[in-house]
Amino acid sequence: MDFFGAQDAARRQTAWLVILFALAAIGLVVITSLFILFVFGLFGGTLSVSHLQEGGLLGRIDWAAFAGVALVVALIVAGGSLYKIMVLSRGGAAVAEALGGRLLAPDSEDPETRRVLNVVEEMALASGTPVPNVYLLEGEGGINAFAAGLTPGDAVIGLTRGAVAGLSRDQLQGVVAHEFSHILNGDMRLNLRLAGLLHGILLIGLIGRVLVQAGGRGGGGKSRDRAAFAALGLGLMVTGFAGTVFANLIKASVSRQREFLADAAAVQFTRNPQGIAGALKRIGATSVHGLLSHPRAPEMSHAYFATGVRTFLGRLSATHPPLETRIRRLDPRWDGRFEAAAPTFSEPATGADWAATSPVAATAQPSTTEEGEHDHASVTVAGGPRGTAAVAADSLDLETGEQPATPDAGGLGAAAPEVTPERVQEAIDQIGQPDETHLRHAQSLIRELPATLRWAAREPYGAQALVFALLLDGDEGIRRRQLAHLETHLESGLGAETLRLWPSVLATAREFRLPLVDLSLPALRQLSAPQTETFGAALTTLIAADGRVRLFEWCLSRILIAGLDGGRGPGRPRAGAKGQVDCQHLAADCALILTLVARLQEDEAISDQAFRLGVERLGLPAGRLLDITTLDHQRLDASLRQLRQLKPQAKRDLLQACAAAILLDAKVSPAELEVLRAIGAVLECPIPPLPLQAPSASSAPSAPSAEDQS
Amino acid sequence: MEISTAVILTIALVAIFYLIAIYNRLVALRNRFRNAFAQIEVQLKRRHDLIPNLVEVAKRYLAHERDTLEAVTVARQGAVAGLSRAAANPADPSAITGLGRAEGVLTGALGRLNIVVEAYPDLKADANMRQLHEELTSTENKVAFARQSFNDEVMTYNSYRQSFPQRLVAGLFGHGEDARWLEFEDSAAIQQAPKVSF
Repeated sequence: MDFFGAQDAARRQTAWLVILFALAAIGLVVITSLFILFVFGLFGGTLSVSHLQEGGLLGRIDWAAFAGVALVVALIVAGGSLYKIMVLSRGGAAVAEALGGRLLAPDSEDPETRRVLNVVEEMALASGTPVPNVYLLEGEGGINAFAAGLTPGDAVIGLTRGAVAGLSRDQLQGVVAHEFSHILNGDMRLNLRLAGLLHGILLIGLIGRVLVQAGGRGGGGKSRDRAAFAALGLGLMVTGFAGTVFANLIKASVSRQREFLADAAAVQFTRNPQGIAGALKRIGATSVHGLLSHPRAPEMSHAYFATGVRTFLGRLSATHPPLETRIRRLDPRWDGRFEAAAPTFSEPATGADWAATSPVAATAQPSTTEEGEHDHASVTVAGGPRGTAAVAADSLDLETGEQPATPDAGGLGAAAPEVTPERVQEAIDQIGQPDETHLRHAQSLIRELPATLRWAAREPYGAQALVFALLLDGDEGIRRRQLAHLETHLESGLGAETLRLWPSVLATAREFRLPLVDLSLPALRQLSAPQTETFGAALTTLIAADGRVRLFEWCLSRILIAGLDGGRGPGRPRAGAKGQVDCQHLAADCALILTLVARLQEDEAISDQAFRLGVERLGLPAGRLLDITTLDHQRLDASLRQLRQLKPQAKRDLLQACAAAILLDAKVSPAELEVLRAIGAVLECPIPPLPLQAPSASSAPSAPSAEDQS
Repeated sequence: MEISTAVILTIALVAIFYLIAIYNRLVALRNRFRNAFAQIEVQLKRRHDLIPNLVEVAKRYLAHERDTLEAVTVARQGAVAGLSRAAANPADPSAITGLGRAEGVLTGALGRLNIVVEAYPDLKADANMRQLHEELTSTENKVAFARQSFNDEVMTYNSYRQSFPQRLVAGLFGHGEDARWLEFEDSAAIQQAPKVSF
C-alpha cells in the first residue's frame, strides 16, 4: 500500500466516477425534462393519450421548451451539488457539528475522554499529521466513528458514545487508525464530490415529494391542476429516486474499497490486527451494531467506521463491506462468533493514560530541579554561538547552532531505533503510512514530555505560552524585549506563563520541540478570531525580535499555519484546482527548496553536490546552487505555495529529492529533519517524526538542546 | 413551460438555498460559542476543585476564622450549581447571568479569605498553600482568557443574528434570542484576586 499511489488511484477513480456521474446526471436531466414536458402537455391539452397510443410523441416535442426545462432541471442539480460541496467544504468541524458532535476539550480530565484524546494524539504524532480535533456523538449508543475535513489541517475525528465506552484501548486504537487512513489517503475529498453530485440528484426526488404533498393537500384550485401537480411530483420522485439509487451504487462500490484499504492501513499503523478486528467483533455483538440515530446521519454514510445507516438495497448499495468479510480479512482464523463481553475499562495498555491525570499533581512537583536546569541551560545559551555575519532582516538564517548528529550515536532509550540514512529514506517512502514503530515512538515521546508542557499544550492559554516559550531568545536583551511585548499586548499573565514554561522547554531535547507544536494545535484552534489575530501578531514579533528569521522559527511557524489554517488561509489553491502540476513546470520553485535543503550541509562542496543530486533526481534542467542571499523566507513561502499545486506523485518526488540531498553526507541533523517536516506540512504530505539519537529530556538537558535557542 | 415560470422557479430555489445557508450559519455560530463555553467550563471546574483543598489547608491555621471559610465553601457550592446550569445550555441568557453572579460571589469570598491569610504568616508560608494559590492564580488567568474567547464568539453570533436579512428569519429558526456575554459581577475583584501577594 503506497500513500501516493493510493492518492493517484483515488484521483483516477474520481475521474472515472465523475464521468459516470456526469452521464447519470445528464441522463437524469433529459428524462426528467421529457417527463415534465409530457405532463404539462397532457394536462395543458396539447397532448393526449391518443398521441401516446399513436407513438407520435417524440415528434410533438417542442424542442425550445425542452431546452428551457432541461436548463432549469440542470440548474437545480448543479445548484444542489454546489451547495452540498460548499457546505461540506466548510471543514470537518461543520460536518461533525451537523451530526450532533460535541467538541472534546483537549485538556479534559475525564478518564474515558482522556483515553480517546491520548490515542488520537499518539496516532497524529506517529503519522506526522496535525493533531485533529475530536468530536463526541453523545447521543449515539452504537459503536462507530468517522473522519471529516478536506485537508490534514482541518480534519476532525468523531466517535460515538458507544465507541468511547464500549471499546478497549487497543480496539479504539484500531478504529482511530482506520479513520486516520481516511485522512491520509484523501478519501474525504473523493467523497465530497460524490456526495455533492448525489445531493443534486436527490434534490429532484425531494422536489417531487413536495409537489405530491402540495397536490394532495391543496384544497383550492382546479382539480385538474392538482392532478397535474401530483402526477408531476410522482414522476419526479420516481426519476429522482432512480437516479439516486444509481448514483448511490457507484458511490457505494468505491466506498467499500476504501474501507478495505483503511482496515489494512490500520493494521499497518498499529501492527495489531486484533485491535481493529476486536472492534468489528464488538460492533457485531451489540444489538444496534454501528447504527446512528441522528437524522442527518445518512449524509455522511461513507465516512463511518462501520455501517452507520442501513441502506435500501442491502449489500449492493452498502457503504461498507459486511462485518464478517472485514473481520475475516483481518483475522482469517476467526470462528465467526462476535464478542459479547464488553472489555473492562482499566487494562495494562492504558497505563500511559494515567501517567499524569491532573495538572495540579503535575505542577505540584517541586520546581527546584527545573530551576537548576534553567541555570545550567541559560549559561550554555549565553555561551552559544550567536549569529555570525550581518544578515538582512527578512533573510532566513540557516545557522542551526547544533552539531550534526551522527548515526552511530547512542539511542533514545531502548525502544527508539537509531537514525540511519535508510530510516530517513524509509520515512520518505512511508509518508502517510506510519507503522507501529512510529506509534511506539510517539507514545514514548508523549510519555517523556515533562508533564508541565504536556498539560500546557492542551489548553489554549498554556498552548500559546508554550509556543512563545519555544521562540524565546537565548540572548537576555532580546528575550526581555520579547517578554515585554507579551506583557503589553497579550492577556494578563501570559508573559509570566511563558517564562514559567521556558525552563522546561529549554530542558527538552530538540526532537520534542516540533511534536510539542503538533500537540498544541487542537488547543490553539479554540482561540476566537480576535485572539488568533493577537496570537499571530505576537508570533511574528517574537520571531522578528532579533532581526532575523531562524530556521527553527520558520519551521515552527510553517507547521503552525498548516495545522491551524484548516483551508481558510488566503492564497490557498481551491480544492478542485490543486494537484495537477509536475515538478518540471515549477522548476525554479523546486530548485529553491533544494537549495534550502542543500545549504544545510556543512560543507560548500557537499552542498553543491547535494543540490545537483536533487536536481538530477527530479529531472530538472541542471542549474547552479542558488546564492545564499536569495534564500529569504518570503520567496521560500511563495515557492512552497506554488508547489502545493503539484500532483501527489510529484510531491513525493520532491520530498525524496530533498531526502537524497540531506543524505548525501550520510548524516542527518535535527535541523534537516525539521525542515523536511515543515516542507511536508506545507505540501500536506505528513512525514512521521523520526526518532533522533539525542539524549532524552530526563537524562540530560544538554548543550545541543540549549544551543539551538541561540 | 414559460420562461417566466422558469425564472420564478429558479429564484424560489435560490431563496430556499439562501435560507438554508442562513440556518446552517446560525447553528454553526451557536456551536462555536458553545464550544468556547466548554473551555470556560473546564477551567472553572478546575477552580472549583482547587478550592476545597485550599479551605482544608487554611483550616489548620485559621481556627478562628470559620465564617470566612464557610463563606468560601458556600460560594463555591453556588458557583458549582451555576456552572452546571450554564453548561447545560450556554445559549440561555439567564443561566449565563446566574453563573456570572455566582462566580462574582465566589471571587469576593476568596478575596476576603486572602486578606485574612495575610494576617497569618505561617499559613502564608505554607508550601501547600503557596502551591495552591499559584495554581488558583493561573487557573483564573485561564478563565479570563477562555471568557474572552467565549464573549468574542457570542458577539459574532449576536451580530450575525441581528443583521439583515437574518434578523427577519432568525426567530423562525429558533434563534430568536441574543446569547449573553459572560461577565463576572464585580469584575474588578477578579482582576485583583490573583495579585494578592504571597
